[in-house]
Amino acid sequence: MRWISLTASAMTLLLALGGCSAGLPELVPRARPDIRSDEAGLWLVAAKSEAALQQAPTAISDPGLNRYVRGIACKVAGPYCPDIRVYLVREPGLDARMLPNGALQIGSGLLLRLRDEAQLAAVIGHELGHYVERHSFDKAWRQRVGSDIRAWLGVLAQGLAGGGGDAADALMPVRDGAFSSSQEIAADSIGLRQMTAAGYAPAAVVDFWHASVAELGERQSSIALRLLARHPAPGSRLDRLRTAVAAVAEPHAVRGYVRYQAALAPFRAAFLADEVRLRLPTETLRLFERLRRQQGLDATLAFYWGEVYRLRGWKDDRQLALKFYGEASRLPNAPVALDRSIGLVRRSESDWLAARAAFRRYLAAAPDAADAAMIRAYLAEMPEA
Amino acid sequence: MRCRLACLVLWAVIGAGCAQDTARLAEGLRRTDAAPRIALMPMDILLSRVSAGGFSQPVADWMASADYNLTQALRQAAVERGLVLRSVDPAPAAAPGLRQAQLLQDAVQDAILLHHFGDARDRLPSKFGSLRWSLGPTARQLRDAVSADYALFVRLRDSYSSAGRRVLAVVSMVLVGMPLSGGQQVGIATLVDLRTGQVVWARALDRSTGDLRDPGPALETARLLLKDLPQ
Ligand SMILES: [Zn+2]
Repeated sequence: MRWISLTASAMTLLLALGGCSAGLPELVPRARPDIRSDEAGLWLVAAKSEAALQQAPTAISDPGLNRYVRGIACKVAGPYCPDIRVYLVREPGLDARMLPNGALQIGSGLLLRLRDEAQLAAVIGHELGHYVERHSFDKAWRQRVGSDIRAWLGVLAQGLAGGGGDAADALMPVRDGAFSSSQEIAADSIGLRQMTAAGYAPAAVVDFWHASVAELGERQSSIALRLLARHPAPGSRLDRLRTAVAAVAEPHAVRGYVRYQAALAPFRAAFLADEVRLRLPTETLRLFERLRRQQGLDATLAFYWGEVYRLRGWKDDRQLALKFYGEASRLPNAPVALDRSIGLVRRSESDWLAARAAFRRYLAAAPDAADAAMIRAYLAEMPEA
Repeated sequence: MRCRLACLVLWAVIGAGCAQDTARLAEGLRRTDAAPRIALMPMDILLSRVSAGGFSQPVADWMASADYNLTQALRQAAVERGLVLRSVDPAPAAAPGLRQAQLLQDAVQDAILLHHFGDARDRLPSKFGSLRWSLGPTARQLRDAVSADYALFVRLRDSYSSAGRRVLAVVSMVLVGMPLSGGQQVGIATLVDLRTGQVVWARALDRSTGDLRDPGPALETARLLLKDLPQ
């Protein structure tokens, strides 16, 4: 009775591909689902997640940054502004997530990766598209119907064939995954419409997804790029985006590069440090390539680039670390911790003279640093040059 | 994500076949106060409908009535045991640090389910039999915020078969001889002494009966939950 399980797979696939959906109309501004609807259940669970977000220890509470991102979100959302609530979370990696009830969670790793305001508008617009089109609910509906069909066919297949089927397998619910390609296309088109209406350069959409896909490289997925797992961006989607953007091109639209980088500047070092702390050197090096392509190499980025090599510690990594530390020291506004790291690398190379000099520069610049006592101990135990 | 993990643990642990000892007492718990002030913390209740394929869908209006029914029922069940429960305003401003306390308590409840009610292999030798879990300094903060000496934390998952699943269950039984699980009521209640931060009492629930959507059965659940609370 193989045909039955084949049919089951085929039908599940059909559903998964979006050949079938709940056929939902767009949400109107200030919409709330009816309390008796299935959608209301989804919203209630989302509200619980939102309550957790409000008091998460990782929440970014800086009023300036919150006001800035909220302002852009509101502009992009237009009539949906009162329905969207933005939560900034300190979290490395590329991630942003719209809950079904309009709570928009934006990770610090995403803010770090964006080049300008228009790119932020592009991401917010896309997430807004999923909200307006009720894609989470649609996804849940398709998963439920898919699992029901699999369960029925599984039981029938086994019952009629007398064994050999996989009824137990079919009774397992499907786990939630990515948005479908038709959902991505719908979200893209709403996102593009909203960001353009807000006066942002639509080309930023293509830049953002292209750079994100480039950061992923030839790998299928990366735990540092969760956004791409939820919103798959194959070549076909990028091509479609490019065509759509070309059709609405506006030469005077805003990118907001300087304004965006100025708003992010006070947090950039901390966000870069978070990425290094993930201890995924290959991923982080790809991210740093992306940032260098977008914004060039500044002292802070050069320093953390060196840190990735220092902490990885492969064969030539010490030399690579020193090379980037050298770049950082030649650029303006080098971080104080630079001399500490130079000292640590020199010390591990038994270059006592250079290590001593670097540690002394560090202690002179930061005598009250948390690790000052440790550095003094290193200095004391080093042999005379 | 974290919540989903917790739920999974909850199910995996209790579902694995909970032992008959469903209540645990810390050593030497006594009713020393004539009228202890007990705060009923905002409950974590999820009611869902299970589709034919086993997909759980949360149902909002069930949850709204369950929250009301169980709150009333717990109050009444407490009164029957000579205790008075006071509800806590869930708004963040009303009790700062409340969320942190609840997150901590979620983790403690997971640990209690695993080590006290779960599979014998998972029981910690040093903690076996007696509760030695603590909320730490968060408890004292909470004590001031809710002005109570004890806090009662309740987490419940209540699921009901959809019509489709009931039909499929019959078909499955007839054709394959394989039973399908129906609705379940699983959960845990813990009582924390806010002066010390110690979890002084815990009770787990795992059964295929119960209904929080109606006041009557909700009272039965509440009585069962508080059954071994020291009088
Ligand atoms: Zn998407």
